[in-house]
Amino acid sequence: MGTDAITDEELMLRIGDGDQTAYGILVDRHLSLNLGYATKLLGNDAEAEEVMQEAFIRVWKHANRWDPERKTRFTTWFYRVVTNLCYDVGRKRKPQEKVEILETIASDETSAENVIAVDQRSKQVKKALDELPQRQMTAIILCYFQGLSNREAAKVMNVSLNALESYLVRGRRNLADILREEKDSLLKEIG
Amino acid sequence: MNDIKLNEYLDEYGKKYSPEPSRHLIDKIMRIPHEVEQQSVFSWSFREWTLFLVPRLSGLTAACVMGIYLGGAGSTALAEDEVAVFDIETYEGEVMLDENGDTLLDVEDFIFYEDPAQ
Repeated sequence: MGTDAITDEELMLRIGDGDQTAYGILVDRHLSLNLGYATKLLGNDAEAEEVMQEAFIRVWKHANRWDPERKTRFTTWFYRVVTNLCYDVGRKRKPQEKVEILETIASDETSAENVIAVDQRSKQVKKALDELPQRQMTAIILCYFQGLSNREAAKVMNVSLNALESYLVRGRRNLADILREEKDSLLKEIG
Repeated sequence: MNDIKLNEYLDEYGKKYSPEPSRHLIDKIMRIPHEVEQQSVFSWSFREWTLFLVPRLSGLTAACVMGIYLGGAGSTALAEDEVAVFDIETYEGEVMLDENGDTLLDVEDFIFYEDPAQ
């Protein structure tokens, strides 16, 4: 039987029995996707890596308490762990750290004109996402970048489906407004 | 900004900010089972302890209350019986004492018996 046939929930039960191979498979399946998620939420690679380490420590530590009767999906539980850890890191940050992160991103330049334009737009999106309220940003990242369904994202965020949809609509509207304002101010500077 | 343009921007951002995990990070995460001990199954959370203890404590309390109630009633009845038996014995003792009043006196006479010859 290949490892693909084993569900994440079964792997958690095996990890609970101290199976390190099962742990390795789970890391392989979820590290990359969740690292991207944490990086987008925090806007900082180093912090996102720390969050992923802490998240997998929790997987290993608490696996023997995994209750299959609760019917919780591992993906949902793990996203929730990562989300809460990211919120904790965000709360502990000092206000000026956010600026430093953006400056670090801004200094990452390449020569090709098109790539610069893409870079510039990505930075604008990043800045706009950072200006959104935390829950609107989380909803957009979960549904848009992580490919979760609205229902799954609502479970991760522990809110109702209606609330999640409201976060998405308001988030997208706010994002478009911020980006438009930035574009207008840029055009004014050029013109 | 329209929806199409916004999606385009978000796509570009998504591609740019999706880092692959470094070898260093993977190694660190794979070392966790060697460095961190799994939590004991018995160290439950407060909620689990509550769910475990509340029904048992309720049962124990109910059993104690029933025991005190029934036990109290039972011992009272027994005490009454014992008192009754004691009363009868006392009564009978008194009767016997009365009946043997002379005997006791006889005993006294026996003890303080004075030899007529003296």
